[in-house]
Amino acid sequence: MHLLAYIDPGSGSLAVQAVIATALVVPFFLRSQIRRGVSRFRGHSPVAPPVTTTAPGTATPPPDDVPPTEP
Amino acid sequence: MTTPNARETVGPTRDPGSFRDPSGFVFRRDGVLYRQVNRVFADDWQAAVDAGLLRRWQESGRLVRHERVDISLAADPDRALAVLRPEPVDFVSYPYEWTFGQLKDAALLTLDLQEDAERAGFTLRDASAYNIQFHRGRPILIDSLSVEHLNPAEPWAGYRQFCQHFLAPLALMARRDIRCGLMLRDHVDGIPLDLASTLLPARTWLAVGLASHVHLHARAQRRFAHAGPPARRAAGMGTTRHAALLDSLRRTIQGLRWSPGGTEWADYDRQTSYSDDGTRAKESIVEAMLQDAGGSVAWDLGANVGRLSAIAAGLGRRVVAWDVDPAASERHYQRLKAAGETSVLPLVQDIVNPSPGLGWAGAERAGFVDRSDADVVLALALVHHLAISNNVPLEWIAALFARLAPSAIVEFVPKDDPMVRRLLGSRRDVFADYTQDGFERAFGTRFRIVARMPIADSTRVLYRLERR
Repeated sequence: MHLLAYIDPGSGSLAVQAVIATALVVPFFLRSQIRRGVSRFRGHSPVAPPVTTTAPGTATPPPDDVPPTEP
Repeated sequence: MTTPNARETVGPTRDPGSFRDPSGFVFRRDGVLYRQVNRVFADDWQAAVDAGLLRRWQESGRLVRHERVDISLAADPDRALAVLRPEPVDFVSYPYEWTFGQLKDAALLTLDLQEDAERAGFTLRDASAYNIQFHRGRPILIDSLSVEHLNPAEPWAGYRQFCQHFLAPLALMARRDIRCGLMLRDHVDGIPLDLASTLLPARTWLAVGLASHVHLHARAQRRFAHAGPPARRAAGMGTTRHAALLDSLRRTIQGLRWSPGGTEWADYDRQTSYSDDGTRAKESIVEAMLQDAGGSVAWDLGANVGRLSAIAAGLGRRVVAWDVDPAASERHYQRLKAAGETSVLPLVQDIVNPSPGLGWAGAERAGFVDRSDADVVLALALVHHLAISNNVPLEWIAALFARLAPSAIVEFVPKDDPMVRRLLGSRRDVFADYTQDGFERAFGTRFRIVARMPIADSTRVLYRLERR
């Protein structure tokens, strides 16, 4: 484990996070399947996560600066 | 660490609350706000820029807009990679001043951003509530340096902070007492989870989210308090676990609800002593006085649910609407949110014991008075509560208002008013100077009386005052 955050993530928080997340995976998976099934039954395609980007550093660099608007 | 005062001697002034993160810092130069990006953060910064993540967040109004400016503006050129000029937010407020709904919306925004970042191969480097501000009516991330590459095998570094800054206070406010939100004043890094676990009712052990993210989390913190980092196998995550964790946090936060009511002032707007004519007269006088006072920013002290703040907003003013009552402020916030009104910011504040300077050197989070940008202060149906319920001398009230703004609109409520009679009903009247003459004498030391208007159907008087 080489998590080097600039804040203290807390040893106990790191440890319990993985344990909690593991316990949550099964209900999370089941809920996702149920949601998908309900969407299909209603004739909707499941909601896809918003399309984001390609792998970091490989995309064509768009300008990141969005000039502040006038207040 | 260099202290803020030492920085001030070299030209640009470093923000006294911007020192924890080595990747950059906020500073002012010639009154303009900038953020320096340090070279040490070059890889993560460039990756986030190349991926368009920050641009997308700006365009969707979830990250403060910024533009890259000339690097010669850097405050610390030896370390600088880039300099950004962010759009200043309307008003800097703090989590201990937010209503329940505001803190909840800020928490949900943080989870939105983390989910979005993870889908793009990034992660939020922290989850501080102080990275969120309310700008044009909605929460917004103000830290442009908040993302770095995600290693899906590693846990979320911001998990502890998210639970302490958002989940614990929201759970305490919803399940114990709404006033627990003020505990954030005493705990600059969020409410310690062992304290939250102790204070929450035992039945919250039956709620999966609170049992996991607060109670078990607190026990794990205690158990590992003196241990090193856990072995990789023990702390291994992976994409699905990350998604499950965020889903659980979101469901837990969404499940926390608080219905405003039952507090001293929650129904005040329905219990005023005004007749309908009196109310209309008061509103039209306030509107005329506001027009006469001019300026662009109004602070409404004792705003309750914002009936008079709306008048100022209708005249184009940006309004900060303070009230001591978390239920009134919450009702105000929810009403504004539903209406899409963006020029009024309701906040919780006890004028008798306002937010002090907090954090390192007492300067990391500025105090209530030091943040005033008001052109005019509204103090309507407030002075009698300060003077009689809290024994604050009228001269001192005038002095505070004069520090807050060059102009004030103040309502004097005399002793024969039913509301003041009620305040005096159970106590000895030790307020010999609390008369209209006494009010004018006290406020006359700080202000010039520009207008004095009696309110129809009452013995109350509205004053428009200009600072001497």
